[in-house]
Amino acid sequence: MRKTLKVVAFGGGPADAFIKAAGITDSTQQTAIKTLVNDLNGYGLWSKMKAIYPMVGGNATAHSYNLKNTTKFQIAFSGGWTHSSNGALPNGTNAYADTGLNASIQLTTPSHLSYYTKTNGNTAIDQIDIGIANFWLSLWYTGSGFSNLLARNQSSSVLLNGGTVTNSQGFGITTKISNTSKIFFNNIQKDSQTDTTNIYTNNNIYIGAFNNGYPALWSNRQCAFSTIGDGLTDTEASNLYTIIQNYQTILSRQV
Amino acid sequence: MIVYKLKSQDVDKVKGGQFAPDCYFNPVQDIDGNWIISIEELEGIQNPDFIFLTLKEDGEYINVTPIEYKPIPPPPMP
Repeated sequence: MRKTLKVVAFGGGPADAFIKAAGITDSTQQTAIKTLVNDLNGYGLWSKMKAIYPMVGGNATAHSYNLKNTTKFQIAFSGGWTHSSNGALPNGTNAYADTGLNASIQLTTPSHLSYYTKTNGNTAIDQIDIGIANFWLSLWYTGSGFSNLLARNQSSSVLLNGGTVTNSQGFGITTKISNTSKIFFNNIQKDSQTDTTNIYTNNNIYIGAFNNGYPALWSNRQCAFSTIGDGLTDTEASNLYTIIQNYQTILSRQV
Repeated sequence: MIVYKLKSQDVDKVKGGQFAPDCYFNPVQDIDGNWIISIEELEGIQNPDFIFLTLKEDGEYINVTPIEYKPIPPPPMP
């Protein structure tokens, strides 16, 4: 049964550290952060995260901080980003965000990537929203004959295909656990494939593009939340969706 | 889309330069080999070291040139 989440003014620890580092003074945003931390802990997901980017605060500095640990994996925004209360919008031309999280060093278990966007659309040019070679997520990839939700999860051979996209607004997750890779969108499993490979290229994960040894395949979809971490079970992926949707609702920017 | 072509002598100055808190330039080359930056970068400049890029004379930029963006073809799907 799905839990109905309430707004809880709970904090301390990482929530307060993030609020302080990011300079969050708005009380609604503070409540959203504290609720997010509380819910991630409550669902047993906090420990599975390596990086959590809440994209709250409305400016590059606030958006740069990692909620999981403000001293690790702080984003460096390069190129043309527009920061607002809705998150961080890459321009689809030269914008990318270096998380500093090197997959081959920091990710030792099957992993997940997630990306929440309020943007419906893509350009005519192929776009990847987060990732590196062999480990990436695109909420709407056009090119090579596709107009699809696509991902690779630590594999050069298995392409997860979530089907044709007509609206990219929402929350996408690619996750691998127990040699099965999956892609979810708005809490619906869109593809599942057996995949025994675990390839991590020696590159930092980028947001707003992918890291091919250089940034490429620029996205123009606004990032309103993103995570990098351990692989998630189906239940965990569903719970993460519920938590993030509640978080976005508190901020009045849910889709 | 309009982007802003850098003068050749400014490219290395700009590459990776911090133009605002936690914001860094990322000039890229277009298909003609021009080094360009975006409107978001140009209009977001707060660092005095890069204010020169925004200087205008008679309403026209003097240190960057607006041009239509012609992107390099993207790499194949990874």
